[in-house]
Amino acid sequence: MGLLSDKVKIENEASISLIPMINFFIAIIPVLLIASSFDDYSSLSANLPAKAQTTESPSTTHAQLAVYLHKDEVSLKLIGNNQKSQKTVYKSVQEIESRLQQLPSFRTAIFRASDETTYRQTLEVIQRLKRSPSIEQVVIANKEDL
Amino acid sequence: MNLKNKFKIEPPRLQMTPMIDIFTVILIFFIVSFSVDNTNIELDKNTQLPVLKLDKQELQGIHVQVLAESFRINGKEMDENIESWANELKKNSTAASQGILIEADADIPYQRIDKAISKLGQSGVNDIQFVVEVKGDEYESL
Repeated sequence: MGLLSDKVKIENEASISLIPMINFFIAIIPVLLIASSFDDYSSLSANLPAKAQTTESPSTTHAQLAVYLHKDEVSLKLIGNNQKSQKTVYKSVQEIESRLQQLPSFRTAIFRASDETTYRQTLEVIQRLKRSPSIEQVVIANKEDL
Repeated sequence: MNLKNKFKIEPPRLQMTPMIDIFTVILIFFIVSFSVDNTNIELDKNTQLPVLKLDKQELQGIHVQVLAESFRINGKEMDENIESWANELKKNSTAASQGILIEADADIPYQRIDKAISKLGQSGVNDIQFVVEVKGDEYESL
């Protein structure tokens, strides 16, 4: 009688079966581990000069900003719209950023970098140009375009 | 008799609770970092992308890798001939319409990028995108 009541008591105890849960975890963790991406990527867009743009004379185009990146400095030059050209040289990207805030609106900034600059430096300057509210598009000029 | 019961050794049992705790934490971490977008960046082992502070973005299009000694379009080694560049872009015209993604090491001389841009321009490309790694901190080298 005593044995029977013990047996009934044991069967009535509810318990979570952990083994299927652990099996599930062991299966899903490697899947997620492989499929997870830990690096986030983005992109900076830029335009290449279309043939029509390069054949247009500067006097007929809207005001443009020519940006030339050297190894240790950046020069900005306003061109077109019958304005007198002003070339200013900056030693850091912060200086360019603050200068860009003061400039009038441009349709285009034409960017060119010298051969000895690094890709990292060029992207830092292009990012500042793209961030500026006064510039609509950034065109990257080649040697042939200038 | 009581003393004998007190020192009775219980059979060893696997401690499930801490293991499940760890699994749960790892599972949550992987679910959060899991990405379902089809950004497929396969960089050369020597390439370390430039780091900029930008919003994460899904990247689609043709991958143009600019290396110190060579250029690759979608992993295929390219020669200097402009026609082969134009043919490769034409062959992948659907992807090309989504964008041209330029991938290069941050410290590569701009001369190499300029060369790639020149070839892309001559092949009829008007818009390009420079692929960067997204980080929270802004880095300035100039």
